[in-house]
Amino acid sequence: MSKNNQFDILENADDAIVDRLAQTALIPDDAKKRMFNMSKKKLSQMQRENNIRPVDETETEETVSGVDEYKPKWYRTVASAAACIAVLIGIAGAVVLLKKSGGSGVDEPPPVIQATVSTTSETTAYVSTSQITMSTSNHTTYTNSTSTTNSTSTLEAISTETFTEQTEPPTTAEVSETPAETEQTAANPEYPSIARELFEKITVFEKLSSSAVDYDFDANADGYDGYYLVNNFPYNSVEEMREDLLNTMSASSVSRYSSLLDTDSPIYIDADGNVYIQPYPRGCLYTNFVYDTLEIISETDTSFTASVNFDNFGEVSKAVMECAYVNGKWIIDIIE
Amino acid sequence: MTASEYCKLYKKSPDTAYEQLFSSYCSYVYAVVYNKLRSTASREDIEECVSDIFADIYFNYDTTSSFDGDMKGYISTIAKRKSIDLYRKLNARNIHISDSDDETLSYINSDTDIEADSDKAEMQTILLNAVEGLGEPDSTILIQKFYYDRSSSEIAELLSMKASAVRMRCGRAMEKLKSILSKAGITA
Repeated sequence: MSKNNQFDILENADDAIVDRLAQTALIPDDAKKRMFNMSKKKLSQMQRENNIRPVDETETEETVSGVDEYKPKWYRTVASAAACIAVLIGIAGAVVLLKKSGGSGVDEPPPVIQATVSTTSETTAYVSTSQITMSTSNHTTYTNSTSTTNSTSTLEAISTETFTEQTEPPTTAEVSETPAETEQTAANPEYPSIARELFEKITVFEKLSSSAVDYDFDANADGYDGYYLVNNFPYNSVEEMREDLLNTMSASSVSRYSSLLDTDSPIYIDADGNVYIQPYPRGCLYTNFVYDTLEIISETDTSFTASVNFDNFGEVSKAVMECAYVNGKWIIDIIE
Repeated sequence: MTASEYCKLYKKSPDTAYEQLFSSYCSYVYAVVYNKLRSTASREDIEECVSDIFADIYFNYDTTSSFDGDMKGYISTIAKRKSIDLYRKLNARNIHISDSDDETLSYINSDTDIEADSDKAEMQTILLNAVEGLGEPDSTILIQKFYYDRSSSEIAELLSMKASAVRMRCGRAMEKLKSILSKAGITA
């Protein structure tokens, strides 16, 4: 659904309008490829249903020469069996290591076994080796002082070397337990905090534009009918608030808070060193964010998209915010 | 691509003919389908409809025909019909089946509002003229953003621009568009 109603009017247009829209119908290459492949599959199906040799098979026959060298199907079985044996050896090795450690009585994370098994195709005749990666925790009760800095070994190495314990504590990636509670994981560790700051600003703007501020109904502004003194305005002046608003929101997103800008009848005014409000109460939407649910959905070096749950008048909704790094600062491009 | 060009190519290599047909008309067919299904179907449904259309065109087009004109008319008809079929399928729950006889049905007014349709067509033209008047790449950015509902990063990739530049241009272009439309007496 379009965010701008003006462009909704272009739906169900006549041929002339559609022709003009087709001029700007840029389609990503991957989408084109996807549609093309889908259409070929459908076409092949239609042709088969009508006892017509599908085009792609016809083309393939013309280009294939010689005879395929087929391998017996037992090759695949042998390859699968070899992979299973590799996994079992890995598990056995882990058991041996655990027994060697003896158990210190301290809660230690179990060793993580990651087995990478390659599958073979029916026409290839090789069996790939499996790579077993193991890590162990650092047990203080070890008496065996043999140490190694390398905790990985291939299948062949496991069968010939003795196991050695790892002296370095396991890395976060090797430990199977869940990482410590954080709000979210993101490639750029700064983005979650930046996103939170921007969501907090949204809350401020939302409340201000909804007149959700504390004001004194008995303290009027001289010369301004209907304006009342605001208590604890979050900025030193209305001008400062507008500057912050324009520095935080893009041109397209600031329209949501246009009532805070300098209009014919602004909600807030500066007068005799104070801020006054002409209240226009309405519901605040983007407040009560549950920051534990904040996550970075996508990101690049100069932009990211963040989402967070919020209390939408008793229901849980998700706010999505697209941010961009423009002229040395992060701004909110879209909030929805 | 004319019909005769397509038929000649088909005789040489059906696969190549199909690829050529697809690349020539993919954007057009997509635009037709999208215009009909924009607020009803997901992007995946629209892409599937486009692929159905091309499979249908290829399967049913008579390559022995002597017609030498543009294939666009034929393709457009198939595209519109398929789009409408999908539209009806997706809105099936809203269709009411009436058991009334023909005499009763004749008393029910058509929901066609000629005046409203005419106004709408005029608005569409005004809007498109205003958008195209902004020049490139602003007009493409606005259409892609607000009509085709693409994100700034998708548009940036299509236009080989930076996403931040797309956002900047989009904001400015919208301001200009609002100004042009308000001068024409149209407000948001």
